[in-house]
Amino acid sequence: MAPAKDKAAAKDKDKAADTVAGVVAGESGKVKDVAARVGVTVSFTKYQNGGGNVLCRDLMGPVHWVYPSGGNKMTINLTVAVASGKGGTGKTTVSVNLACAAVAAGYKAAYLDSDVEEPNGHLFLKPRISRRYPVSVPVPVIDAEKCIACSSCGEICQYSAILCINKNVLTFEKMCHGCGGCQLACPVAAIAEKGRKIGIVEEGVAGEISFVHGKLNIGEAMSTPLIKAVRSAGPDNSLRIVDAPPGTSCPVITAIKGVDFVILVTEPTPFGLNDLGLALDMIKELGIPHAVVVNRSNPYNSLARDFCREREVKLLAEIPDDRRIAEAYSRGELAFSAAPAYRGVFEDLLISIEKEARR
Amino acid sequence: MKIAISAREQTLKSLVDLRFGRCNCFIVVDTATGDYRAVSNNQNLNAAQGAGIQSAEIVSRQGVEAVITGHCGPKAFRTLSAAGIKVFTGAEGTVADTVEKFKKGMLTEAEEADVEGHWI
Ligand code: SF4
Ligand code: SF4
Repeated sequence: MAPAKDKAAAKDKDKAADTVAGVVAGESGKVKDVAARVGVTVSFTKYQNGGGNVLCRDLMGPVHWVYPSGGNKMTINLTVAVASGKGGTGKTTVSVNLACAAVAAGYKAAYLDSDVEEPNGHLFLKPRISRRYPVSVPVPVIDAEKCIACSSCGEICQYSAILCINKNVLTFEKMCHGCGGCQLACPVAAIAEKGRKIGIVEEGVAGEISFVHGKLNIGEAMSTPLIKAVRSAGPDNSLRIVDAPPGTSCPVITAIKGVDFVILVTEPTPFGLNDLGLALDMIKELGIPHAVVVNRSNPYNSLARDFCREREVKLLAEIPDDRRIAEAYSRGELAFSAAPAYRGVFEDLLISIEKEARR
Repeated sequence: MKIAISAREQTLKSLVDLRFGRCNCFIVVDTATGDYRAVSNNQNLNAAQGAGIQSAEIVSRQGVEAVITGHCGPKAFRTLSAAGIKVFTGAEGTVADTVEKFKKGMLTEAEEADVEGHWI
């Protein structure tokens, strides 16, 4: 073959790839034409998404979605929380890579890190922060002039955060849940409110991903108001991925309440599965559709698979126990870009989630 | 003078409970007459938070002027100070011995909390 011809063929091939990523719904024929010319087989799967966009799976790469023309992102309104019974299972790995898969697939996507005690998604997504604001909880302030030392405030407080002793009213701001009960109970309106800062929310972008995370002040015990603030930030009409705090207590429940779907990340170890069991109990109680993703999985270890069968919960994906993923993680890189071989895992996971969540 | 000592059991022979907020009970002793009374604190044993504050409130209701215990956290200390109650930390041994030491002026008054909250 003459070199010139080679070049032309290569150009055509590029064009085919471009076209695959560029056509709008209903134009799959065009893609097939170009593909046939350069000798690539393309197969299509109809994939309905609001506007009727087409998903095509070709043989050149893993999966390509077809963008609507003009480069606009597909809109979707879906909130998915990624949680785990214990820390260190790979919750963040799954969340950030899922966010990448979502924008690569043409969705408007947001990553919301609600693990406010130890947010670490930013280490991988490296966002540009454009907005930063504090979150406070209301705490009581006493007007000593008005106070008649009746003790009502202390009696009503369920958290020992206020107390009238020896004609003094003491407040313990860190213990106050900001319920406002004392204010209502005070007969002489001696109690006003002020804000106590518990942390900050930062918003920005990481490539095409909208990024939001909360940072709780060190030593702060009250995290739920900050988690709520993170949850309510970020763009509407997007695929919102909530990186939940680990465990099964209040902060997790705040993070996952009201989401459309929960992914529970686990490791195929007895400890991991024990905590997964606790997390499953919690989610069943909350009645949120959910499924499991196994991290650091290997084909010969069937612990997690057996567990999911026993508990009758769907296992959506297994992320292999691969050095490349671990190394990417330790370098603060995304498996999605550092180990492209695994893109497919996250892309498939995204499709499964969409399907499951729409049931 | 009435004093309260954190104790493991409800008698003078009991050992001093080193924890203030989460002690089993307080022995309230009148140092002039030697009369004593045990006041339960077990509603607090399992409190998730604020045990020290609640205990401080309990002893202040007993009208004591001093509290003797092993360790006292910042919230309890603040509450006791507001109530005008002196705090003596570092106590050990039996309640009876501790009362004697107190009478002889062998205990030192704490000027601030000697532990962070939730030290146990
Ligand atoms: S606002 Fe609620 S929690 Fe805070 S001191 Fe008042 S009653 Fe207690
Ligand atoms: S309820 Fe109001 S008046 Fe009564 S002790 Fe509290 S602050 Fe003072």
